[in-house]
Amino acid sequence: MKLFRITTKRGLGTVVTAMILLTAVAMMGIFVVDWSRTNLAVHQEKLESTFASNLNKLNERVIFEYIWFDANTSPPNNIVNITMNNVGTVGLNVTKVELVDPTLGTILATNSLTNGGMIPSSTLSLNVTYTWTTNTAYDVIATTNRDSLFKTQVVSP
Amino acid sequence: MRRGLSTVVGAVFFVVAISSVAAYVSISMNSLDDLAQSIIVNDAQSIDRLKEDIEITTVTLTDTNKFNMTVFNKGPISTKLTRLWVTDQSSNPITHQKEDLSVLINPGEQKQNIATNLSITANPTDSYTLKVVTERGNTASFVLYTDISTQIDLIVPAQVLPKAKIYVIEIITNNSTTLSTIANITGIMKNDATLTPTETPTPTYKLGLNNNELAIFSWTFVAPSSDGLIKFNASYVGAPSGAYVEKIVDVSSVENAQSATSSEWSEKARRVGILISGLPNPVEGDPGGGSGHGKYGIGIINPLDRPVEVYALALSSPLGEIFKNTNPVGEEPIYGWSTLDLDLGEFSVLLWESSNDCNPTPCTGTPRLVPGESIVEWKVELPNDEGDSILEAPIFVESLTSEGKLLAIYTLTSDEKYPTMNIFYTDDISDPLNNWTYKHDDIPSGQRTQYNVTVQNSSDNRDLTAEVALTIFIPKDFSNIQADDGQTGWDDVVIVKNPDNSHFIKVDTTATSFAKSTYKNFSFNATAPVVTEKSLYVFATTTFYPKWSIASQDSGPEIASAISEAGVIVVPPGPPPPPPPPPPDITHGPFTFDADNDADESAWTFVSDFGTNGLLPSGSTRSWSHDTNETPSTGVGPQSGQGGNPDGYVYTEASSPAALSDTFHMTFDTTLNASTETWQIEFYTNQRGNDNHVVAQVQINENGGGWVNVGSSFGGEGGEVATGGNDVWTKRTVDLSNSGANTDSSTQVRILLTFPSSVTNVWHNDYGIDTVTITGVTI
Repeated sequence: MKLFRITTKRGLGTVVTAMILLTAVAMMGIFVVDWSRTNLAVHQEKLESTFASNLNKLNERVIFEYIWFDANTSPPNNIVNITMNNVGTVGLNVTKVELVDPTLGTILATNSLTNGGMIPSSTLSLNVTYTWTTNTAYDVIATTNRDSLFKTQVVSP
Repeated sequence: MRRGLSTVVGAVFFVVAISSVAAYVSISMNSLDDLAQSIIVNDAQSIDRLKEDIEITTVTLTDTNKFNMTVFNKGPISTKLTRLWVTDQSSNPITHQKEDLSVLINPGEQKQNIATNLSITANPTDSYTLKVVTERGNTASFVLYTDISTQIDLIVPAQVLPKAKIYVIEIITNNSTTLSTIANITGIMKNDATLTPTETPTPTYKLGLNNNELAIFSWTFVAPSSDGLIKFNASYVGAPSGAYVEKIVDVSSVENAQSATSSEWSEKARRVGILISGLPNPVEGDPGGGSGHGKYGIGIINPLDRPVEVYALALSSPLGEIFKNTNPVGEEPIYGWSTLDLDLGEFSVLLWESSNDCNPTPCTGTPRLVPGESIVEWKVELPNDEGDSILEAPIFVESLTSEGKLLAIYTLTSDEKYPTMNIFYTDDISDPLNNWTYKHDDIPSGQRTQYNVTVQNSSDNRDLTAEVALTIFIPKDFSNIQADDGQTGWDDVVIVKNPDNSHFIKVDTTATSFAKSTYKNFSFNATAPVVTEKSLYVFATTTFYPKWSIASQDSGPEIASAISEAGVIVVPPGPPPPPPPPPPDITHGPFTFDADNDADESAWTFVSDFGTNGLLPSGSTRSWSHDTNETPSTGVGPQSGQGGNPDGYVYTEASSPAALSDTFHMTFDTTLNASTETWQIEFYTNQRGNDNHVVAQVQINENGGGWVNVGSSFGGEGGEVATGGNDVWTKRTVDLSNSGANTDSSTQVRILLTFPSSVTNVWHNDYGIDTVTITGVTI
């Protein structure tokens, strides 16, 4: 009898202790796993977004199909007409077109667009108002909402 | 039990963690793969974009003033044109139009008629810039001008008779250096005599004149009845100000007005050019048949010191179909000629092309060469029955050469059917028709030379019924001009010295008729100029028949004529003759033996060890024999000496009783001093015959010490030339000092021939020796 009592007490304490430890470890494990999964999911989402953004940016391609300087304006020589062509494989949104002095790099005129969307193979024509001088080189720079820059240089007639 | 539970829980955590990490890594890898794929695709598109290469080759306007564009895909990938931009540079303000295209062009393909179905139209007098855009974003531009760099040429006769027809030709060339086309060009011809064309200008306009193309317009006027000067002004619709050419026609009642030569070769030739010779005027002497032929000669004169390559040469005429379906004979060169019907109305062409000259076959396209300071002739004879009543026309003589394109124009000024006149030069006055030429080569500087002109009525059914005149213009550097004495059939010889020292000969035929299919020769003498370098001149020679008129003509007399621009090449005195060779030094040689004279042969001793000694006549068996042509034995032995045919040589006559292992030697009787000189022997051997295995060996004998071999032996391996083949003489050279002992002052040399020890046909061993030279060099 005596022997039986002593044996019963010892087993209960061990089990309780084991249960507590097991529960604590499980709780910590669940927390750590959940935290890491959440963290991974966030990184995964960011990764996908970044890659998608860069992929689309990579596939953006715009050419300046036709640029002509309009001399018959009032005041004269006040308009530069620019036609762009989206020859890339993704749609894009032109946010602004700038006329830049190629020597000094200063921005001479800007046309900010709110409706510059271009689906693939489409063209976009716009005017940049600037009093240009004859026989002068100008850089034309178009910027998209993905921050792609497309540039060409033209010489006025 | 407890241990197992914790293990399971740990394993679950581990699996969850690993799967999460794996999912993250997998997604990252997929994203990277997508990025890589996208970069590859992007690079491929960029490369395609760079490869794309298109060019707008021509742009013309259609009858409805639509643009007609031809685009050439020069790149290695197909392309799609998606848009056309058209800028009217002449409008004010400048207008811009665009229209979508959908034109696919394969690599290397040239797509035509692009833009003809678009709504964009053009004003023919405006200049346009056209720009096409491809699907990949590349562009190509073209400028369509109305006022670009052009060259206008105006051809009018210098003189015409009153009431005569005046044929005026305008040639407009697009000589712009940029890729361009003049749209719908229309020639304009004005004059200050209020003359109106008797016929509609031909053609009325030309659609699109591309770079380097010509547009030719012709007008016909009738000269007024009174003398005077008429100024013609040639231009074209839309020409810029100042783009015109003016020339004056002298209307003169002088009867021989058209006889004056228009040759430009009045002085020493200084540029590459065309010589016209023998072109008849008119060209129809045998309407409806007949066998007469007119002689058409073209020469390329090249006074430069470098050769000129000639790739093509053409005679063409926009009127009369003169060269259509004709049947040329007597062509020189024989190959390369053809006639073309370009389906351009009456335009016809007689063409010689180097690419068509297939002698020898296959066609190599090798251009014909005109060496520096020379003249090369092209000659052809055409039947006089071209069958069209329009015989007044220009004949364009053109040649494409390495010095550029050459052009000369000869105008037929007589119409209707008429005897056909020809004129040319000859070196054989007994048969000039088969020995006609228009060049004189190698006239010595300062030497007096006779020149022979032949005038021919090449028609075989019409006579000339009045006197015929002949004029010769001789450049100023020639002197002492005289008609040849004693020639008959010519009257009224007039030789005039012009102020610039050139001369003019005019002479008429004595007879008042010139029968069909006959000719007359006229000879004159002239002293050539003294020159220090080759110099080329031209005798401009004309014949004409000025007294013909027919009732149907209201324009007065017509003149039949012919021109011959004969080239004369004067050469400077040659270099002084070389001094005679020094007499041979018998102490040094050379000692020669060519088997052509007794002196040679007596200087040698010929021995046949098993037969008869001495040099015997050809066919003397088992001995040395002398011959000048083929040996009596069929197909073996020499056919002639080394120096030609006939030429002397010696050989071993191997006919029976000659036998295997026979030996023959020929010894030079003179002893050589090898103590002060080294000696060399050269000779030629001939070994013809399948079983000819003779071995030749040079030997020396120093002061009677015995014969020793020097150098290598020759032959022995079998006939160099098979039985019946063409014989070959092979040069052998042996340095007599090769033995190392050839130093004695009394040295003899010989050639030893040894027959083979075993062959089937001993008689094949006719072995030839010729042209032996023994030369000494002082030590």
